[in-house]
Amino acid sequence: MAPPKKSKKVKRKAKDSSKCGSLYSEPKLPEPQPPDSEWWYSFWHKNYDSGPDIPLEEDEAFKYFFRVSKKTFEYICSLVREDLVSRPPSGLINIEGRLLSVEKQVAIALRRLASGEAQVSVGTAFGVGQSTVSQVTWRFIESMEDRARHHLKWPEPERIEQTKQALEASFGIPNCCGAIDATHIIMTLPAVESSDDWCDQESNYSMFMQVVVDHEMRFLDMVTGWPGSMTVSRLLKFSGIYKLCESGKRLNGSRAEIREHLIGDSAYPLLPWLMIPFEGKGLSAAMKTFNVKHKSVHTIATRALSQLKGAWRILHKVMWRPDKQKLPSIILVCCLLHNIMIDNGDYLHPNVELSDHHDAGYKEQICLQVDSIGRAVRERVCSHLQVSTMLTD
Amino acid sequence: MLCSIPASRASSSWLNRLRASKGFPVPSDLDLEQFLRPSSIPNPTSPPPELDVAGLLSARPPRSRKKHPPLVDPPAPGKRIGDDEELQLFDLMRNALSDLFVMGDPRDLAARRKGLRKQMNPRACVPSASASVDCGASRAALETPPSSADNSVAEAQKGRTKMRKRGTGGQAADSDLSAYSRTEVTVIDTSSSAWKSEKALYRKGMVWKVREKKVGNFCRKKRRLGLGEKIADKKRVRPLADLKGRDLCAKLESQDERCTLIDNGANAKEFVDHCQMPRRPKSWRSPRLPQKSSSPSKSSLPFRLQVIAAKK
Repeated sequence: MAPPKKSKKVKRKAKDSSKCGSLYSEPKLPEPQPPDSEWWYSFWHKNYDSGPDIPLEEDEAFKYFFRVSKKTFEYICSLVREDLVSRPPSGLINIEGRLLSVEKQVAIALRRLASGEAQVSVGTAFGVGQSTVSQVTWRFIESMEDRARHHLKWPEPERIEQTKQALEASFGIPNCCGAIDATHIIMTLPAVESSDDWCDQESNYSMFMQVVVDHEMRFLDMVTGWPGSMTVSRLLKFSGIYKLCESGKRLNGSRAEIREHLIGDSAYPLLPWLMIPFEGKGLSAAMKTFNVKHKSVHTIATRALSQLKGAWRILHKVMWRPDKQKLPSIILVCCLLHNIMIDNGDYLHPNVELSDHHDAGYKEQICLQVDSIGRAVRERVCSHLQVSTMLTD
Repeated sequence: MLCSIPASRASSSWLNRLRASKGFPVPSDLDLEQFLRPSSIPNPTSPPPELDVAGLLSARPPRSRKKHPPLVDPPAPGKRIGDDEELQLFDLMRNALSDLFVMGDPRDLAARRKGLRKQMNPRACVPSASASVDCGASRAALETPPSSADNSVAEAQKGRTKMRKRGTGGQAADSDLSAYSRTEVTVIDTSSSAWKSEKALYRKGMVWKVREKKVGNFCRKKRRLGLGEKIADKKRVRPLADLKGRDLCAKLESQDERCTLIDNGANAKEFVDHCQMPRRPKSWRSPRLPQKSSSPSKSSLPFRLQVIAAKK
C-alpha cells in the first residue's frame, strides 16, 4: 500500500501565512510554525518498498528510516533550526530549485548517519544531489556539536547519586558511577595517508572512541580522535577523564573506604577509581562473585556501544576515506543523538539489527597494570559483595 | 662534543681550547689518555675544581648526577692515590664520560688503549621517550610507555622512579622527535574545557608522545554563551562562503605545519582574513534560485559584501 500524498499547495499556503503573522505580531511570541511534513510523505511514497523490513505503519516507518520518533525529530529540528534555516542566496536547494526546509535537511542528515549508505544513495532517496547530502550533513553536524552539547555532560552530584543507587540496587556494587568501554571506528585511508599510526591490532585503519555510560546507557563522557593503534590503557591515559580522576577532581566521593569508581574491562588498568575484573585461575568465591557483578555492570557499556553502532550505522560500516579531522565530529553527533533519544524517552526500535559485540573481530586486550590503592579498593568491594550475598542468603 | 674527541696530538689545538675554556691547564705534553688517568690529573690548585665540574655536568641531564654519585669505586690496589680532591675530580670526569660512552673498568684502561680511542659500544644519547609522554598529567608514573606501563607493576614503578630522577626533562626530550612518526589528530574530549583540540602525536613503536598544537580559535564556530549572543545569533546571516572558508582553513592547516603553530593573535587574525577571502564560484548559485523581494535588484556580490560588513 502506497502511503498517502498530501497536497503541496495547502502546506505552502500555511507556511506563507505563518511568515506574515510573525512579521507583524507585537509582542513577539514564538509563532508555532507548522513543521514541514511534505518531505516525509514524498520520501515515504518513494521509499516505502525499498527494503523488506520497512514497517507499513507510518510512525514505525519513520523510526525505521530515521531511528527517532517524530517527536524527537521535531526536537532535533528545533535545536538546529537557527543554523539550518535556508536563507537566499546561501540556502541549499533541491533538484527542483526550491529551498530545503530545516526538516528535510535534518532528515537527510539523520538518514545518512542512520543508514551509513553512500551520499549518492541518500540523495536519490530524497531527490537531491550527492553534494547537497554532503553539505547538509556537515552543516547539521556542526550545528549539533554546538547546540546539543548539553545532552552529553558529566552529571551533577544528585544525578551521580541516582546512578550509584540504581547500580547498587541492580548489581550490588557500591559507589559505582558507571561503566567505561572503548571501540574502534574502522575506516579506509588513501595510500598517501595510510600510516601505521592508524593501523590497529587487527590490521584495520581505525579511530578510537571511549565512553562512560550511566545505568540508563546514557553517555556521560566521550573521547575520540585517537588512532586505533594505541592500547586501550594508553587511550585512557590520554583522555581528560583520566586526568580529572587522577587529580581528584572527579569521582572523588567515598563511602566505606570505597571510592567512587567506574567499571572497566581487562584492557584498562586497575586504579582506585577504575575497577577491572580479577584475572587468572584459582579465584576465590568472592572474586568470582565480584567478576559476575562486574560483568553485569560492564555489559551496560557494551550494549550502549552496540546500540550506538547499530542505530547510527555510519559508525558500524567501514568508512571510506573519511576526513580524519571531521570524523570525530560525526562520532560525537551520533553520541549526542543517542543521548537525545534517551533523554526524550525514545528508545531504539527492536527491529534495528544489533551486532553481538560492538568491536566484533577484535581480541580483548589485557592490561596488567595494577595500582596498589586500586587493588585495596577492589578487595573492599569484594568483601562488601560477599557480606551482602551472605545476608541475602 | 665529547663523542668526537680523538686522542691524537695532531688535532690537539681545539682540544686545548676546550680545556682552556673549561679551566683545565693545557700542558704541551698532555694527551687525552694521560688526562684521563688518575696519575695525570693536573694540579687541582690551578683551576677552581667545583666550578669546572659543575660547568661540565650542566650539559648533561640531572639524572646522571644521581646515578653516578662521586667516590663510588674504591681505588685499585697498586694505583697511585692522590689526595681526595684529585680523586673526586677524576671520578666526576670519568662519570661524565661514562655517561656518554661505555667506558668499561678504568683499571684496565691502559691495557685497552685502542678501545678507548674508538668506542666499541657507543651509547645512544637520545633522550628517553618515556619522559614526557603527556603534558599536564598529574601522575608521572603512569605516563610510562605502554610497554612498561601496561605490562607489569614492577616496570611501572621503575618508570616512576626514572621519571622522578628526570624531573622536568620534557624540553630536552622535545628536541629530538626526528625518530618519531608524526600524526596530526583532531581530538574531541568532553572532559576538557574546549571539547575539540588539535594535537600532534608522535610515535616510535609503542612509545607515544602528544603535543598540543597551538592553533587559534579562528576555525572554530562561535559558541553561544548568553542571551546577548543568542540575539546576535538570530540576526546572524552565515553565508556558505564562511563554511567554505573554514574548510579551506582546515586544509591549509593540514598542509602547512607552520600554519598550525601560530600562537599570537596577530597571526591568527591574519588567517581569519585569509579564510574569508575565498568565495564560492559563480556557478555555485543556481540560476533557478527564486529572487526574494528583500534583494531583488542587487547582484550577489554586493549582497555578500554587505553581510561581511555587518558582521564586523
